[in-house]
Amino acid sequence: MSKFPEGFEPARSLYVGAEAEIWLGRWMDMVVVAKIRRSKGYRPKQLDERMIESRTIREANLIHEAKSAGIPTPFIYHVNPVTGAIIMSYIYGTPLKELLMSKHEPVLKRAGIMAGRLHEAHISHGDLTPSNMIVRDGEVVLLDFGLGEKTSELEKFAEDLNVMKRSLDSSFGEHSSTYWNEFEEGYVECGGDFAKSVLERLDEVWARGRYKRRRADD
Amino acid sequence: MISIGIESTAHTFGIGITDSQGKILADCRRTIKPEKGGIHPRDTSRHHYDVAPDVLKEALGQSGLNLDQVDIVAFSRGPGLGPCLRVGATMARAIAVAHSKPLIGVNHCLAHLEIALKLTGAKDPVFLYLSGGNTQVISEAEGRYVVFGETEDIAIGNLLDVFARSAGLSFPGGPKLEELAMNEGKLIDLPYVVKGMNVSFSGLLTMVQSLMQKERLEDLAYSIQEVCFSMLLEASERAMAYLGKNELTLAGGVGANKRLREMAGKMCEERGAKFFDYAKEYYVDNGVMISWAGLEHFSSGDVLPVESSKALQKWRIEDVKIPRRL
Repeated sequence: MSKFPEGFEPARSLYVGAEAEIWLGRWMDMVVVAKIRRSKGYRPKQLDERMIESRTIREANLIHEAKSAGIPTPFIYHVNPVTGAIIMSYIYGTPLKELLMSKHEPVLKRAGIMAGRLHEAHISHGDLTPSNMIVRDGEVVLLDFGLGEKTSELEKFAEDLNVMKRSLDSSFGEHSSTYWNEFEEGYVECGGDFAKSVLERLDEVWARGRYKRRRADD
Repeated sequence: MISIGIESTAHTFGIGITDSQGKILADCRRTIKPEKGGIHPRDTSRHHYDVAPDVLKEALGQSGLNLDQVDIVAFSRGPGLGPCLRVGATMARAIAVAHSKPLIGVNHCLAHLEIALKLTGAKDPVFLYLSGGNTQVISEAEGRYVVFGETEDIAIGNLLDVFARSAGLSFPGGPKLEELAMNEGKLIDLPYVVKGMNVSFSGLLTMVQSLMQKERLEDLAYSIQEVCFSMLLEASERAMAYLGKNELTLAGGVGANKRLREMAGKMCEERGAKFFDYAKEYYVDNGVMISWAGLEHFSSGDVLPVESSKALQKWRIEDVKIPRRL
C-alpha cells in the first residue's frame, strides 16, 4: 500500500523532518503539500498510533482555528488520522530561517505580530521556530501546528517565545538579539497588555534555575 | 603528558589518570549507597571525604606513578552539589599546590561529551545527556556547546529515582526499574509532553505515583521507560532534523540504560543516521573523563589560578569555550 493518500500524485520530497515527511504533489488538479507522519519503530506500536492520530487531528484543527483568528495558514483539503496524512495547499515562499541565513529581512516584526495574534486566540504553537514560518510577499505564514494546543495558560505562550528565542540564538549568533527585538516589538504591538504579561512570564521562565545563566565569576 | 582527574559532583567520587594519547592509566571510583532515601549533599560529601585518600592511593597504585610524575591536576568544578564539589576541589588544589602542578577546572557536562567523542570517534553529533540532575539535548555551534532542548522541570534520572523510592526501591533507582521493565508489559497511558526540543516529566511523575496501588510495578516501570525514552528520542530527532546533523551520542548515567540505547540505535537507523555507542562504565560519572577534558583544556591554555578556583554549582555548559581536541 502506498504511504500516500488516494489520488495524491507525488512530485518531490520537500522536507524530511523528525516526525513527518513533506511532499509536493498534485491532488484533485491542485498543487498541494502532503504531510505524512511516519511511524517510529523505536516506540511501542500502541504509543506510536496514539501519537500519530492525536497530533494529526490536533494539527488540522489548530491550522483551521488559527486561520479564523486572522493568521495566514495553509488550507486543509484532506485529513486521515489513521495514516497520519494531511493534504493542504502549497505555500509559495521561502522559509524564514533560510531567508535570514542569506540576508537580514525586516520580517521578524511581522512574525511577532502573527505570534501575538495566535496567542490572543488562545492557541500555543508548540514549536515556534523560523523553520516553521514561510515568508510570502512580506507576509508570514505559520506552519506545523502538530505540537500546539488550545490553552489560556500564560506559561504555554511564554514557552512558545522561549523556543523562538532559543532557536534564534542557536542559528543566528551575533544577529540573534536584533532579530529577537524586532520579533518582540511586533508581538507587543499586536498583543498590548496581554503580550506584556506573556513577556513577564517569559522573564520568570528564564529566571528559573534551569535557564539562569551564571557567569564563571571567581 | 599525564593528567589526573578528580570527579565529585554527585554520588560518585572518582579519580582517573590518562595520558595525552588517550591511554587510561587508572580509573578508580566509589559510589555512595544510602541505606534509605536519596543523595543527601552533606552525607554524600562526608562519604567523599572518607574515601578520597584511599581512591587516590588506589589510582596511583594502578598507574604505578607518584604525584610528581603527573603533569596536570584537573577537577570537576561544576555543575553539581556544592558540598560534594568542594571535596574534589580541595583535593585538587592541595595536590596542585604541594607538587607545583597546573590546576584545571573542568565543566562536568563538557567532560561527559568530550570523553564520548574520544571513545566513539563521532565528529559532530547531537548529544542526549541524561543523568540524575541533567536532561539536555546538546550540540556544538560556533565553538560552544549549545543546549537546544532540556527538561522544563525535573531531570529524567530524578524522575526514575523518586519513583523508585516511592516504590520502596533503593538508590540508584534507574537500574532497578530497568530490570523490572525488562519484559514487555502493559503500556499504561501516561502524559507525553514534548515542546519543540524540550520535555517535561513532572506530570508523568505525579501520575505514576498515583497509580502505584492500582497497577503492577513491572507495568509502571515498563511504561515509564517506553514513554519517557520516546519523548527524549523525539526531542533528539527534532534537534538532528533542525540542525541537519546525522550523528547521535548518549551521555550520562541514564544513557547507559540498555533499552534507551536500543531505541536510539533504531531511531538513527530509520533516519539514515549513525548512533555512536560506547562502554557502559563511561556513561556514568568517572574521573577518567575529567582527566581527559583536563588535558584538552591544558593544551588550549585554560589553566585556573588556585586562588580563584571556587566550585561553581550552577555552571552552564554554554558558558565554557570548547577546548582543542587532542
